[in-house]
Amino acid sequence: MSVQMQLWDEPVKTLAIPQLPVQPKSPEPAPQKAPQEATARSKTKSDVLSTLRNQIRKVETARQPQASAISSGVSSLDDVLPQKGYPPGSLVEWIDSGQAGGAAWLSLLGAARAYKHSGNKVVILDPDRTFYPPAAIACGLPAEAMILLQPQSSDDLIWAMDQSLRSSAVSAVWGKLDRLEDIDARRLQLAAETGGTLGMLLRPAKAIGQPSWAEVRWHVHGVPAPTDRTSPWKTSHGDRLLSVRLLRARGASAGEHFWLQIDPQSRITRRECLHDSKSAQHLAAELAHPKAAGRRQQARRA
Amino acid sequence: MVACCRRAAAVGIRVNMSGGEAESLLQVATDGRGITQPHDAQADMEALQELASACAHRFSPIVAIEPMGSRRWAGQWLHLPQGLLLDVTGIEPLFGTEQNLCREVDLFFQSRNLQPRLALACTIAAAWGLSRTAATRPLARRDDKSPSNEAYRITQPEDEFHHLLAMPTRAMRLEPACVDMLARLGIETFGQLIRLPRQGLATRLGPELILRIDQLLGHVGEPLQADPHRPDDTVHLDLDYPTRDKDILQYTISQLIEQLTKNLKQRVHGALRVVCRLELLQHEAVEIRLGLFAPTADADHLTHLMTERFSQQRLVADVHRVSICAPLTALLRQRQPSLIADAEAEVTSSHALANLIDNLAARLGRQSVLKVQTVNNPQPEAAFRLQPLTGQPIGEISRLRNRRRKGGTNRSSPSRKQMSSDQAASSASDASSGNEASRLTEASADTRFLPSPRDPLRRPLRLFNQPIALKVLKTEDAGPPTRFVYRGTHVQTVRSWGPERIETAWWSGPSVRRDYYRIETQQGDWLWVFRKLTTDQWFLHGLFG
Repeated sequence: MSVQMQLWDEPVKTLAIPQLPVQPKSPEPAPQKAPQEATARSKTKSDVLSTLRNQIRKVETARQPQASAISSGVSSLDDVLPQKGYPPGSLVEWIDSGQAGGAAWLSLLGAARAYKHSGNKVVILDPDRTFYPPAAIACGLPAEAMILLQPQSSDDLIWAMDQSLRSSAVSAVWGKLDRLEDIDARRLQLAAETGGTLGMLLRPAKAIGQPSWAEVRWHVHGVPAPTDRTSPWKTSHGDRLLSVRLLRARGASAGEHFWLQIDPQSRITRRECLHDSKSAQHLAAELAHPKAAGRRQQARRA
Repeated sequence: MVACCRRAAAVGIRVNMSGGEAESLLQVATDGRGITQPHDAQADMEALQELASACAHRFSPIVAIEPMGSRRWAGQWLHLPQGLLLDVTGIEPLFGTEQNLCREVDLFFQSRNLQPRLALACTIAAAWGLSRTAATRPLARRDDKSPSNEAYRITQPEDEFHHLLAMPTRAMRLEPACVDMLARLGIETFGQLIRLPRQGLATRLGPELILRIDQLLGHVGEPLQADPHRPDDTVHLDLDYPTRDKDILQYTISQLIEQLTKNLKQRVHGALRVVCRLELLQHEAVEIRLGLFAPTADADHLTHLMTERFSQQRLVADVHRVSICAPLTALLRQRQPSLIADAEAEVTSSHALANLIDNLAARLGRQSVLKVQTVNNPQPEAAFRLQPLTGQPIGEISRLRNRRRKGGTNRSSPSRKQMSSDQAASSASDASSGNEASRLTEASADTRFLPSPRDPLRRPLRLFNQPIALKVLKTEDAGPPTRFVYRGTHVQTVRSWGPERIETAWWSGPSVRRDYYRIETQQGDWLWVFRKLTTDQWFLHGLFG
């Protein structure tokens, strides 16, 4: 579990250690909760962990606006997230390891849901001027809800994103960020907290190794539909398969990995991965196939 | 077709021609190297208004943009005003003679790389006609910095009638049909026309002809529709010591804005446009123009925006006078304190939105903060239209657009449809309910080509402005390429869907004939490729997000 704590500006009031009894100084937790926690502690390891998670979340999100979470637009994604959605004022990173692996599409569904949630506009940052609004309309984001920004430089891009996140009249900000310095990321995070705005950041594959300031980080890439007949479910002709991995979520165990099957009517169903090892076997078997191996040797000789 | 250069006119291109016709003529004449540009009526109009205000500061306090007729093409083959009218009554002593005045005006325009056609006459009609007849701008004089006196048509009251006699009828602001009719009768000039019996003219050729004749002779007055600035929407300060110190100037600007907003607040108005004019010593004045998303009388907000723009401004000389005016204002939306929290929240939210958009437009530029409008057009690139959110069309333009929307005389070419489906002015406050209703019916008429949430995977989220040519390695019978090179990597197609044939109409510009396919690569990416049916080449046009 990767938990990154926000302890820069404010001193931590409560930091709990499992063995010691918790003494919350903040008035929020009611006194009747104490016996519950005591019993929880005595119970299993998972209960202890969930208690700890809740406490850490309270410390971390002290500054954030208290409001109900916004659905991600896809129920299968909501189920994985600790609050069944994104808390308002948070950044969500989407890493697409391919050219067009579906991250933009899934994130836009989230932005459209945020628009429905609050009725405020969605700011779309499009520095390379390739965004195609009719497709966004097809995702459920009406034309009148979009404010399209086309900043010329990367400085302007960060500034415009910061301003939009900071504004309370915007429900979500959607944009592609190829490079993001730590200092800018922190700036965006604070801006999102100030405005209570959802930030959907599309990041390239190289961002996987970099530290994240986002609340949630998804890794999405497209999967070619399985061609063999052994797959446990049916894929019809127009279906699309996306592999989704939760790389990071504050307060949840990361690493959840599953597939989403999208049919032409945009119904999304969760599918368990056809295990990775099998595809590896498949490849190895193919490499070792006498026909293919022979062809390779021939090529080498030539 | 809105305008064309002389070389284009030589190959037969005419104003008011359809886009497709002109395009084909142009491509034939230039072997496919001709360039056509989409027309931005609003930018044209704003440039003309800027010129008008510059003339108002330099020459005459009364400057008007030429009036358009009640019909769109009335009297002129123009879509928009193209001339400026200056009332120079009693100001020629300031410039010496009328010749000198004309020369000053000429030099002023030439310093802006514009070649004016000037005429000075007793009536608007005469000046208009004379400036558009004869060789008011001889070609030989182009390099000559000091224009000769004969270049301008200047008439005196006593000899004006003689000048007018030779004026052709097409310079009389008449309906083209009327001019054609007169030409068939053998009447080409005003002199011939005036000899006709007046009684029969009105019944045969319409009352407008009589009106134009009377206007030319000065029998009927014609009002000059000068841009009315309310005097209290302009504030200025003369600096005792000219300076280019940015801090001092910024302080002055903020003080003036404070004063301006105080005046505006008294009338419960907010500024939609703010112009800050810095008069320089021995140099041309610098103007900073702000266009706002919603009317505002918030001094802090305006100061912030103005400071942002002012800091980007370079001053070549010391400033001796700063003036700030609000050429366009609108009624402020009243904020009624409410017991219901929601209503209050909505008002503050719209206020915050206006602030955000103004801020973004001040730094990123007006052309980078856009709203989206859908257009019913099957061609993917033309299925939407982007429009700046700030600086909505005002005055003449919005009037023209309203007229265009109502008028039934238009041919329904797609470009017209685009023009008529815009407006919207979400908060610019003057969109009447009638317009709103007509727009709704128009939108619901034909939504066949618009994407709908029912088939989200039909169109890509990213569409390249220029389709990328693909190097195809292998295709299977008539289908999309199964192996191709894209950005230096070999891509293999796993599945594909299509074709979806998209063809555009021959009358709407260069024709597009494409077979589109959605393909899935072995990496799991979804791409949108098409085959150009005319050349059988393959292109990548978009990426599904």
